[in-house]
Amino acid sequence: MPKTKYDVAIVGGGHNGLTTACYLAKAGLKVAVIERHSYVGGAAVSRELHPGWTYSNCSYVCSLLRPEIFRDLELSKYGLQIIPYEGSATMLDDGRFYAHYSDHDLNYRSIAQFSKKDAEAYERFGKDVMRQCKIIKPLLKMTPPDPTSFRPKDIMGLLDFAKYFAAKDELGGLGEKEIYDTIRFWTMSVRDYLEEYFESDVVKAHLAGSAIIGTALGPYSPGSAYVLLHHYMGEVDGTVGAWGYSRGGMGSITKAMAASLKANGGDIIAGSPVTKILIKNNRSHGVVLENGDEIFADKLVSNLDVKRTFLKVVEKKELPDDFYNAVKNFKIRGSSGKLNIALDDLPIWKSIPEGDPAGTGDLHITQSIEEMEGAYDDWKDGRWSQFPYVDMCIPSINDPTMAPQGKHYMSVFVQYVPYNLADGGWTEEKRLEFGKHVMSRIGSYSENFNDIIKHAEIRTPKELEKEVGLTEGNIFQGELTMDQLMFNRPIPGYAQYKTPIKNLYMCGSSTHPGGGVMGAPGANAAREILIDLKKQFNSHYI
Amino acid sequence: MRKFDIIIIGGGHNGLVAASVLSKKGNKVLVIEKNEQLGGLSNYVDSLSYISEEVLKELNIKIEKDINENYVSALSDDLNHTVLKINGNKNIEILQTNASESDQLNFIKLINKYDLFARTLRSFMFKKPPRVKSGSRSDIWQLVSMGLKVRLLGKKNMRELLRVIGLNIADDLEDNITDNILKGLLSNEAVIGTNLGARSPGSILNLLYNQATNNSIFRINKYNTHSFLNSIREICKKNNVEIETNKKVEKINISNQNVNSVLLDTGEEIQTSSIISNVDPKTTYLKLVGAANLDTDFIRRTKNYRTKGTVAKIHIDFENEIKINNLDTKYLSGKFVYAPDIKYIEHAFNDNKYNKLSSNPCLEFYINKNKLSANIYFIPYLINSAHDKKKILSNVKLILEKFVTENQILSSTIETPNDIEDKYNISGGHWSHGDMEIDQLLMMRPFYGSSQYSTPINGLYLCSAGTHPGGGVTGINGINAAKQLLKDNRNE
Repeated sequence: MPKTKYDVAIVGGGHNGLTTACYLAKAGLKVAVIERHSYVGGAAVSRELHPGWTYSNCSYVCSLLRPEIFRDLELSKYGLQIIPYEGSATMLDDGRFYAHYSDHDLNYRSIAQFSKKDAEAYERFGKDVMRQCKIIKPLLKMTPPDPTSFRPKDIMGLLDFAKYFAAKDELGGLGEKEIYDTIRFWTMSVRDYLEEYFESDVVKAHLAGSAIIGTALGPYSPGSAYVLLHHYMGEVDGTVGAWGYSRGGMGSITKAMAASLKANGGDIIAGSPVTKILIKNNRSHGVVLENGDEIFADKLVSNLDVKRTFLKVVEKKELPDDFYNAVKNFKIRGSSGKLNIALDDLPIWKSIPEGDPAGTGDLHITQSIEEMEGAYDDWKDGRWSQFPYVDMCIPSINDPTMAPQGKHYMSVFVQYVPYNLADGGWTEEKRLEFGKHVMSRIGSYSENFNDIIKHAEIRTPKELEKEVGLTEGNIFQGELTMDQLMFNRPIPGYAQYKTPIKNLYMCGSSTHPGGGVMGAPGANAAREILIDLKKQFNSHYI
Repeated sequence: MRKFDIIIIGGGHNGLVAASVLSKKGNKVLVIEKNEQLGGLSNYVDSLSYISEEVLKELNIKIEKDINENYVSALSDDLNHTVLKINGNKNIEILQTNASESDQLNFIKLINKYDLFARTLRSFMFKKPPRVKSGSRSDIWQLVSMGLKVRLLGKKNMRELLRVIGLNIADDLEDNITDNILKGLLSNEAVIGTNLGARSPGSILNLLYNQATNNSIFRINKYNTHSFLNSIREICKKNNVEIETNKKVEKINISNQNVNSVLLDTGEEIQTSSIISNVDPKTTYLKLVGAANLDTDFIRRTKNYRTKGTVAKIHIDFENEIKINNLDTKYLSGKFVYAPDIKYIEHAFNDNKYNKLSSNPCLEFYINKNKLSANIYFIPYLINSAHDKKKILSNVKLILEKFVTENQILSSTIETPNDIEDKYNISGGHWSHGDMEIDQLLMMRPFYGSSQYSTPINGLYLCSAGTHPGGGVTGINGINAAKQLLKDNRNE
């Protein structure tokens, strides 16, 4: 190992780590990304886990990736292609289905089958949620000001924040009603929020799905409405609310980032698990790898979640007690499972006719919000849900690179699955039983599903933790609850990508604005580092 | 036609407080109460733990303090009950418990932490909530002073406040203590009367809110409710407030967005230019004012205001004086809680979510010789079906049999949220006239367009628990509403 010293070393090559690295490399710093696996990508990976099939085996759709980052890192130049898809559908037990289309009139008719009143209300709903998305968008890019601090930077930040809300209406500020609407949106349960608009169970259930994905909250829990945003904020080519697949699976995103990094002179040191961050006099200066090698850098950035960073690779003695305890109490709960399935043929659904564009998007199995809340009740008691919320998609319909010709790849996201089972923990049998349970649920909605399964990879939060390193298998690196958002994320007082250790930063989804393949935490962290280094750098994002 | 300066609809404690404030200024006031008895829901509360200085000063009354010692017993299935003695806010002694030393220490620490935060909240609890962007100088000043108050907590405490305010009680308890009974006891205080479970975000905020209005985390007995009510009635009498009971207001007549008169069920119409409604906001707007006088958006917000009650009341007469197994008789004067752990509460809450009767409800009760009166939760408010009261009784019996033996139940009465709705004309039979969750608190209580005790109708004000600071027998809502009315009249 050459004894090079880096300006900045990033521990963990997930999409956020790579984003940070790219920005820093572009600013002229000597940067290395140190990755445990032989491949980079974290939870945005494409892997051939069955010969001939490529699985997006963790995250599965692309929508949140900030368009500015896309442009700054020149991801299209390095091979990233996003294929937008049309529609989504919820399949019901009684053989009906509700399809959601991007086409306004089609969508109206689709809702009107269930309730004409809801079809009308959707106009109002869409407008209101979009407005909330636009209000929150600038906040994603912001480093949250510390409300307890008296430093000029924080005071200015708070003033900016206040100005954003308090500016006179004619200067683009929010009106009194809008401010209340925003507070309500951030604090209400998604059930209460949707009931203000809709009466039909299926319409509510279809929309509520995105609020519970990945969180250990039920749709009746206050604070769940906010998570809707993580769905609606999706942006493909600048269209708010649009979704897409990345061609070649989610790994294509991180592959393009890695290529962009290399083109800017950054190094990727793969296959090198970091076992310890070296700290002397409260300053970090390097890392120790599993094989005993040391890599030195002026600044270190951890892409690991906050628990993994401070409970595993930083020694306890280096941390203030308060901070250590806060990290220990950080809520990072595994609540989701995933099945990746290789199919011999396209599934034929009992309800959705062949060729309907709704069948090419994401397909949900859920009957009502009540059923979803029941699924959460199971999770609370330490069981996988008897009637889980299932979110499926078949990217190979639009992307031929994912499976051999005529065959298909299906990604199945399952909510809820606990990290610890109440009846004595996970075993291999239980994992398979869980998989069987989900597949039989899906099978009951299809004519041929059970006969076309070639291979299935079944993942509980345990597998997610083991492979990606996400503590408890939480896909957002920490719950997106009110106590862990904005200036509270991840730890109150440490929401500005910095840590109690000098020269050690955080850039993972544990930091503001949180999870999803968004890149915002990574880019925000890069900005903070560049400010600390007093480096000028122009970009679309920063 | 009779004519009054101000008519107050509903003789609950807030209505009476408003009447005494207004009559003191020489206004001719009429209070109309649907029931025989005045006091409304406060009749359910035998004693209060706190009457704020603001109220005592405004009404110029003195209330005798009850000097009894206060005990809180958390019952355990294994009969190793936990007993606390509450000497005051910051002085809570654990008299007996199974919990470890460190659990006890951390439990007291948690209570002190909540107490600190509740005291910060208290400073804006008793004022009119500021509106954001009203442009009014007093509102801006109040917003700024709220921010300053929070800042004065110091860095560490302020961070913790901003964290726990959105947190659920179960997480904070599990991070700090292991004893199930202690966890259940505190969770009980955080969720009773709400549509929240121990794991619902916002349950700590609700706890802090209760603690702030009651000046006590366990809602102990300090003042006799009846002597409080009596002294307010005295003031009303002295100031010639007319009080008419057994009369129900059917409608508020409005012309040109101005209050005109009220119509009673007796057919009488009484003229007035100002009305304070002590009826909950939903009933006031939808039934008394009527949709025709309000805009669609406002009606929608009214309908969306959440008022589903969750607590039923039971009174049981036993054959003999009641004793609790394995508990010293000197603790019988205190409060009893049966909510043995977080999971138990959460399961009771789960049933409530689906409008089902929980077979294992939580109980909070008081004993007086051979009488027992309990709050049972979660008992949902039902829209289209009736409660099976026999089932409720047998569920309660099954729990009580664990602790009260060799004693027969002679009779019992149960009042479900639906009964409370009928009896007191409270939408949903909700204790606090509406859920106390962030989106229905402060300037957003009850909802946009109806804050600061005002309504879209000129001359109509609200003073019920559906306004800031919400439920509980505080009298603050009544005072603030009366002051707002006086202020508006002065400005005219």
